[in-house]
Amino acid sequence: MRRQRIVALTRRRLAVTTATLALAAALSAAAGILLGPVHIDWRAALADPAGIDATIVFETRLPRVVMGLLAGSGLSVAGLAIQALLKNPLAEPFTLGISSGASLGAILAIRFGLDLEIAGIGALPLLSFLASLATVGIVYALARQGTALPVSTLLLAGVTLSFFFGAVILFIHYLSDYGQSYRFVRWMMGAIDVAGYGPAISAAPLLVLGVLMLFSLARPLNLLAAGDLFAASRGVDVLAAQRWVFVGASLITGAIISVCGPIGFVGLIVPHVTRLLFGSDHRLLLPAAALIGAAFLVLCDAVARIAVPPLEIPVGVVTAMLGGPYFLFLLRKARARVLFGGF
Amino acid sequence: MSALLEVDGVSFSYGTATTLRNISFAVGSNDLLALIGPNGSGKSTLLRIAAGLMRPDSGVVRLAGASLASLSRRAIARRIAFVPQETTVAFPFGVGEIVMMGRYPHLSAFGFEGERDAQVAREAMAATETLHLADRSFAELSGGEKQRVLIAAALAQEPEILVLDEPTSSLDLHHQVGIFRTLLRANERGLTIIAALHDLNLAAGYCSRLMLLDSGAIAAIGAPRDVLTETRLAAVYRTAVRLLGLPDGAFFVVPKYQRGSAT
Repeated sequence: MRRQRIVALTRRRLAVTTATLALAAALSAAAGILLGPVHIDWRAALADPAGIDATIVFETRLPRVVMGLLAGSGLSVAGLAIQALLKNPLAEPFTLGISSGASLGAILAIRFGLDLEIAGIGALPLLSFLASLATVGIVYALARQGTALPVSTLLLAGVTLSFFFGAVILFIHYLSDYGQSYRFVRWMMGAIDVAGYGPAISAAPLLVLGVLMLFSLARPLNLLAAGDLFAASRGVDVLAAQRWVFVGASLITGAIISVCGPIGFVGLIVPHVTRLLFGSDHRLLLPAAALIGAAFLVLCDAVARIAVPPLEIPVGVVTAMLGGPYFLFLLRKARARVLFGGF
Repeated sequence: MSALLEVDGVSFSYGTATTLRNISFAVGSNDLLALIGPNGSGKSTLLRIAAGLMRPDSGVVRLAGASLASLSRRAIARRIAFVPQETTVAFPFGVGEIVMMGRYPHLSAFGFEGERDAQVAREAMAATETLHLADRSFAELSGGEKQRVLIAAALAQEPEILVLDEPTSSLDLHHQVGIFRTLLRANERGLTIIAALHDLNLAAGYCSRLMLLDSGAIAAIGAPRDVLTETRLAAVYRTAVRLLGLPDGAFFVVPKYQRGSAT
């Protein structure tokens, strides 16, 4: 028999790729700390903890970088998993209605001026997180049919609920005063310009839990991406795998959106870039997308800060304006046929 | 003889439409059984229930005596592989990756495929004449190549029973014969095969036993000669047919052509 190599992922390839991308993420984190409208001296920041350089580094820039790393990696991992779950390369973390639910929670908190804090977490992120989870719960309950979770029904239920909530949001928005309206519009733009470490700390536990859940589902995700019946025939408990992917991606997305607002584009584009670079095996794609997404969002936030000083562009604007053309370039190069497989 | 796979009193309905009525049959080790019958007679549903992919409304399927309902999907997949009629793969997986996925039920959750898994996958690809496609993208293959790769993935599962739904529909003559050559070789090495087939002549020519389904019930089961009779086929398919024999013993089912009878 001719000795043909069967291409499969090896531990070595996984380790080398992950280490390289981790280095890139670390470099972009360093750039995110050092770059900004105000020049800082990192030696002075380390030498004098009470000095102005240290204050900027540790109280302004580092919290943003940490939030950017968390949100960028989380949205990318959730987007990758949702695309595999729905077998649809145009899906992203917000496809199943989660952002409309979170936005509804946010505008309710703003409209009714809820300023209470529960365990150090403000009413807005709390309400928006609870509304996002309620939304995915409704979508799941609507789509589930006995022992099956038909992907097309899931998609339709998510999109329809998004439209419904969108109308409710517009109605409340219409009734809001100017100040409330402005706050809501700013929230909808999405931003990681967090104050202090509170938001990152409150989002981190659920985000990390969701990411670990998805990482543990890497192999079933490969088979789900190849087809539900294909996966079942190879021994995957399809409904259980779908449910855990859905729960994991929802926890991640809900945790991020509740503190950052809906940051678009990262969860759609980073998974595609990762697939173009590294193929289709989720054991490699999940960590790679997490690191690429982390580096990408931190760099976009640095650009948002320094592009038109002293103003700051919302980071969602930068992700789309930088990521869009780059993605179109990759698309041209790789040909849509390869990218979209059987579609 | 104890049966390897035993379907016992299985009934199933989609909503109010009864698809299978009280089906019982057994498949022995190393059998090659073809399921034949008109469109909508319940072949695909019965195959999925027999492969443990769907639960029957009533009745039980036993694998070497153990009810499939008591086994996990993974445990079933180590022993029964299923190849559906059509498979669309949404993402650009490589052919090698698709075949390697057949190893899924044998690996732990975080396991990486080892040299033995690669060896099994290579043998499955050699048996299906797909080794030369290993580096191609699955989505780029022709229909016949895709079907052979999917059979390779099923063989890489190292199952005792291979269940196929219309493996040769939409394939040309050359590829039909190629698929059956592959299946016969695997059968000779001990694999039990159950396949739904549209083409009565392929079924009669290649399979040792036929099972004819009619509106969700078994109309006949046995050797091709005994199952395929002109009167029975005319009744089940509601079409007049002829059996034509050749001197070498082969025989063929053809519809009774009535050219010009319309005038």
